[in-house]
Amino acid sequence: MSEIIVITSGKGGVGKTTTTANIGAALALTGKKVVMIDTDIGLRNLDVIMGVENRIVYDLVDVVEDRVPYEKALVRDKRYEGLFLLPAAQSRDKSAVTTTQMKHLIRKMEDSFDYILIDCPAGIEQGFENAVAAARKAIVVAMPEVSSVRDADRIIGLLEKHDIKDIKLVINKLRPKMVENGSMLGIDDMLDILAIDLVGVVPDDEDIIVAANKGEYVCAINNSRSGQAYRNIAARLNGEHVDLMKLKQSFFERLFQKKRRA
Amino acid sequence: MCPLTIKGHGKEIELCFTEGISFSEAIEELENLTNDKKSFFENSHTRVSYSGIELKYNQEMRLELIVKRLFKKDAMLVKKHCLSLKQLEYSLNQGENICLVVKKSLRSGETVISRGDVIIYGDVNPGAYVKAKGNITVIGALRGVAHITGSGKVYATYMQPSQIRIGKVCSYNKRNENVASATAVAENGEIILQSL
Repeated sequence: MSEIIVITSGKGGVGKTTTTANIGAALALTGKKVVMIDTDIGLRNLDVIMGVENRIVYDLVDVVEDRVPYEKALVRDKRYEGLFLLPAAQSRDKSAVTTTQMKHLIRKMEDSFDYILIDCPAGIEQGFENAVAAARKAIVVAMPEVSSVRDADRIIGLLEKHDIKDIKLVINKLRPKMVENGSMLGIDDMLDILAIDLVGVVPDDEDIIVAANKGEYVCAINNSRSGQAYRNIAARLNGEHVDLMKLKQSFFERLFQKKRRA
Repeated sequence: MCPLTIKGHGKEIELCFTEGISFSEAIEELENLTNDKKSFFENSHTRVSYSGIELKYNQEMRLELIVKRLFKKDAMLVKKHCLSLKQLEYSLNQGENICLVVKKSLRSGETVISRGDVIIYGDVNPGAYVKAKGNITVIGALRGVAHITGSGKVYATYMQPSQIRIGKVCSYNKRNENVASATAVAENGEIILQSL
């Protein structure tokens, strides 16, 4: 039995795809067999972030329409043992897949993987329905912004309606300095409204942008703070107990980190 | 086919009448069935629901009296289809004596509508909407919209509403203020918060 987790947020641009890629890679680092399914048909990004765009031959629509078996459409990430991507189609739209087809597909894949991560598109329409249809757990990604928290709240309501009870929160793009001087929502403010379990906090970090543009994973960079955050999330998903990392760095810690990277 | 079936749902008991049964028949059937097993039903359930029959206001009052006599003195009678907490939209088309109890937090986009009172054990998050004819009580934080169509009050243990409407009076929270444990009432065309 594999863990089937949908990664969603409602609002666009909060980092669902980046989170999916990095949690997937971090889980693969721990020796798990992971497949990531991109359900953002028509606007696929996960392959770009993973840097496997040029190797896609078949996609999700080909698989659900039974043109090829899913094994053939999987793209293996050569840097990791056991990290796979089932890419979305770029030339179709969300209506190309139905919820029944998704359930059917995931039932077939279930026994072959430890984790099935489903990258959900923004919005609450057909794409969301497809992504959620077969999921048993959910990770909601939210930024410390009022609009993002609103949408996350709505999404949690919808997930509960779909009978998904195990919902976890990832707070993304947090800036400890802004939280400290009161110009950004803090972790507690967000948990107060959303009232679900926190599984990780990812600080806003340039490394993420640099790595994503290069098609690399930030979780593979050893001294990156966001990378550490993603590795911690993966460990928590595996059932380990990891304390929340210290978000604020002292001057010397920052200096030391810069020196190591140089 | 039996005109009345009694089903148990956890702490709730449901009286399922056959469709098309008249009110007098329904009452007779209920008395017959429960008189035989009076000791079994006594003091058993506090929440009783019914389905399969449309009742007028006075008929419902009569049924409630019978239910109270047969089951428990403080038994509450509610129509079945409104009770399911799984449904996200609640609507009650019943008399005003009914109180709708919601035992979960309302998230953005969720709506609760009642012709009577509403009690919510949980938060009402921004974007959620509660509408009632009577009073609204929130045992938790009220951050969404509370709308009373009659002339009731809104109480919340933590009051930070985005908007409160009582009758024709409407006020919104201009500075996002919050008060712990307060009641909102409409007075002279204004909504006033009374801290407890």
